[in-house]
Amino acid sequence: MVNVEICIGSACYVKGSSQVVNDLKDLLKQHSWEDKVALRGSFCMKACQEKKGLGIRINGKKIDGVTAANAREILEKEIAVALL
Amino acid sequence: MANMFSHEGRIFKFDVLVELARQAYEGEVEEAKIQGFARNLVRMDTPRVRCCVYKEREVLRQRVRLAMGKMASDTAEYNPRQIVQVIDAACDGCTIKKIRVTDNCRKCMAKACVAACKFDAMHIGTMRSEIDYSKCKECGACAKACPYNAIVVTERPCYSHCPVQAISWDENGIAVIDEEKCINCGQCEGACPFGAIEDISWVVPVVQLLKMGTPAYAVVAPSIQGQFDNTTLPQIMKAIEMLGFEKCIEVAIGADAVAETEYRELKEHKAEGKPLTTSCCPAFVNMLKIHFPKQYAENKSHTVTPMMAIARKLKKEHPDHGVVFIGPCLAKKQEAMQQSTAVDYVLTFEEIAALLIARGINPAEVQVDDPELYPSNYGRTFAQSGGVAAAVAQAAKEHGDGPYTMVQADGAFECKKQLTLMRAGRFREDILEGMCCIGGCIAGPASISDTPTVKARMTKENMKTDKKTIGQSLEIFSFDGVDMDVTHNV
Repeated sequence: MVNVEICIGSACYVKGSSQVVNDLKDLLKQHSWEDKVALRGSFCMKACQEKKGLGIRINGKKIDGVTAANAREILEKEIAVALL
Repeated sequence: MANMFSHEGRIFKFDVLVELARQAYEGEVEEAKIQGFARNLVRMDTPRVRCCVYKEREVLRQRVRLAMGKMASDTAEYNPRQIVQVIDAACDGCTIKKIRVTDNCRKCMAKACVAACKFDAMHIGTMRSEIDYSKCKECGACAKACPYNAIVVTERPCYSHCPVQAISWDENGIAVIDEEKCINCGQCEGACPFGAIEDISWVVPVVQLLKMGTPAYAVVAPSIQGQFDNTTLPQIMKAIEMLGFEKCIEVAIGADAVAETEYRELKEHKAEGKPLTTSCCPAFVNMLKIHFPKQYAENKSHTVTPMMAIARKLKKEHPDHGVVFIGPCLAKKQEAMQQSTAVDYVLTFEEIAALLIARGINPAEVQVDDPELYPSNYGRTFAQSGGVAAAVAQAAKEHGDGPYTMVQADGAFECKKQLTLMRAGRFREDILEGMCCIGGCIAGPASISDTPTVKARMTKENMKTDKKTIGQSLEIFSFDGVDMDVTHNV
């Protein structure tokens, strides 16, 4: 099981993390990953303080440089790698 | 519970929040979808207060933006500091002439108004006294002099309620908030009869997190007690848990710890001969920080607020849990969220009521057992004007110390007055309790029931407690190892 955590703290919410959750749900459906990937919300993970994009963790590992615009593309790759 | 507000502007705002909450719980949250949905609130045949349905829809569109955590204006840059915002489409522009002569003018012989005017702006016209607005300085001397009360001084409610002159207006008369001066006290929001000043809301991300099962605590301000008719505090707390929170906890527990810590500070301040100002009202603290920087540095208590105390305790014990504060206050949103703190989100009573209605939960019908562990009445009374100073005095008494002298500044203007005295070195007491809402937090801009009713319900319910002391409360709820210093970033 791959764990994906998305920060929906106020700073990430303003930058569109709420929308990323919706995009990701789509993505899981599209690849039929729903049973293999657990999508979770998180309160502030302090990614905002490091200024390295939205707060997103895959299996506990922080993924840097994600924005609302590139989230789908980056996370598709990262989840595929994590599923191997 | 459906009609909780008597002010039409608030009912309208509330309807938007309820629909938004429903949507957030049931489906995906997309602005376009919600805007489409919200448009149904203003149909072509809906009775209206503004010039046309299109203007009302524009007001609604901006309201939805605020309710979704965006700035009211599309072009404004996001500023997490600015909670209170003007919905420009809703602003009426109000009267811009401050001094007016009314029909009561008898065109009398005494001409007290003409004599009183030092700027030669007043003269006797054909029917009555007339004002030359190119000369008028709006001092109001003529109005004071008139024996018939024929001259009125009209101030825009937003402007007259702002204690720090942060409100002005643009060339079209639309209110503008000076973000450098604003203390987010929300007095203007409560005063505007057009509902044109509103606060930014975080219901959407909170609902989304709850829906995803993210573990979260709800911490409720003491002023929540008595907000709902025929509903006890444990019932309200249980109803909030039913929204998806793991546990609902009283901020009054943190208040007990604050009273104890602030007493120790008071003792030090007294030894140095400096009065102490209380720390729990964030609008009062903003007033100090922005408008009285010297007193902010010298007199302000360094103790965290009760909200922060309980949040720090919870985060220390359970770092993986979110903390959502629920209160009547707008400045709390700023305190918690302008930077990373132990409080993740702040919702108001209004917003929590919208969530309860969206989920069909009526707190009055919730079944609960009597609580076993709860804070002292002193902590709970932080919600009322005078309660904070009384609790600090009680903490002193429990240590065999005191008495200390105190002044309660009830309301933002009184706070300003007392701070002005302090700045001039003429404040002679030991402790200044500052609360920007008249009556205390129970009169907060986002409270639901009126202040005297809440106070009465609160007093009645708290008569049945075990009347424990602050010390006894802190034996149950330990704050050992919790950093109570607000200047430390935890």
